Amino acid sequence: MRQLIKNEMQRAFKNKKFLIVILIECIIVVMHFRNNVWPMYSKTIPFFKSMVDTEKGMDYIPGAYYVWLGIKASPFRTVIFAIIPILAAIPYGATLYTDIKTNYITNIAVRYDKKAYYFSKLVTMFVSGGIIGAFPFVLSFLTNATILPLEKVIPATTTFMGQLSVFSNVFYSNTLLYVLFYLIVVFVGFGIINCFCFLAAYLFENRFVVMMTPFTIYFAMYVIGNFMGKRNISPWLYLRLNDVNRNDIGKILTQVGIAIVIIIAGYLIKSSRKADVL
Amino acid sequence: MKKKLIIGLVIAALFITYSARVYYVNATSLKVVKVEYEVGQTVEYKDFLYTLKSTKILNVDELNQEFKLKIRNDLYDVKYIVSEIEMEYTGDKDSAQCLLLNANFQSGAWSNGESADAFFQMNTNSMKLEKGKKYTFYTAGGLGKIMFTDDDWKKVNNMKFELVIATYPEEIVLKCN
Repeated sequence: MRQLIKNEMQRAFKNKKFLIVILIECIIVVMHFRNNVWPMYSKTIPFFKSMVDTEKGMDYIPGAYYVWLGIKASPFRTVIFAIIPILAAIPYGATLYTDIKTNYITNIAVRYDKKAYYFSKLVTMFVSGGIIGAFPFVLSFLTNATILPLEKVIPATTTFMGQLSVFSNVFYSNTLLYVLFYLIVVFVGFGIINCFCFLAAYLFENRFVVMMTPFTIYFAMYVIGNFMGKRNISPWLYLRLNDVNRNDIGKILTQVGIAIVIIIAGYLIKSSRKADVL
Repeated sequence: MKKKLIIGLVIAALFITYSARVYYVNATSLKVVKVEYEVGQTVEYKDFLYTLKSTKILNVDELNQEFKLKIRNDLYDVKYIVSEIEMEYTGDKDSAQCLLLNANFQSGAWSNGESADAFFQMNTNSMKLEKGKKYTFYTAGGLGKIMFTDDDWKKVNNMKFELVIATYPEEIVLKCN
């Protein structure tokens, strides 16, 4: 089992597609830095600092949190949240499908237990989806921190989130811990979404369609949510932790629970003795 | 083996450089410190002395009745946090404009500015404070039900509130309760 997971992890992370995906994410983070962080550092903050000792004074000097990709409402944040499910599926999402089509799966089935094989597939899909999902936010935070201090956020001066937002008390009392929660949510959320490639590999007869399945579900839930007037409970929005309303937590957890049950059910069906591999 | 060692050294060097840079950026920036004052304590800020005397949370009917106001109550479920503040001007001029309307109420992750509508209805005395003279002002902040979860709204009368009169370079708060 450990060897299988190791092999699958190498397939997921030691390939050109993974590097290209990371490069695309880096470009978006650099553009966010160039358009939002650098002007804040070089122009806005010096101006704000010059106002501190004047009669008007200054309420707040923005720092690394204020312009973090995860929180700062910007086109780059919108773009990154829109394309992560696609990017996450590119390096590894369709490998189960190609394993089936190239009969690689039959070679594996001879040597290993098919349960272990499917489990390693699912774990690797989850981890690769999670890493690709969380990477731009980690990178954005690390780059911001090289030029901007980790500022103290005060509810009276910031408009990031109010009492209704999940973990908002943590945000104002221990902002770094909140960032960690945010990254965990993004990692787990996009990891789970990427696991839908597992089911899609058996449902569809096209590699591209398999890769696009997580995005299709992600986007469809947003569209359906909009039609039903409940777009807040679509992953497109609730994976941005600062936009999650505490009143919606029950519905969101139910939805995540259903997604996990569907994925595990798919895994159990394919791993059952009755299901054929050869 | 040698390749792994070189990679390890490069990563360690990058990590140390990065950590040193982040430490430098934070060490050379101003840290906002929170300074709290209890009910009845006086703080001097920008040539004014502020003393928060008392605070109560009232619904709109109670507020209208107690302060003889005409605040409307037909939008959504709302309460008001009302603080009584004593102010005194201590600057060089003969008088100065009251700056109280710049303050904000906050509790946990919630915050709201003062209601200008309620402020001007509750305080009919001059907004110009003569030097050395004490003035009493009432200031109110709206607590809308839509800003809280249902559970928090039930406990809103027992929540701890603060009146924030400055946030940079020091966070100066007057504890309301």
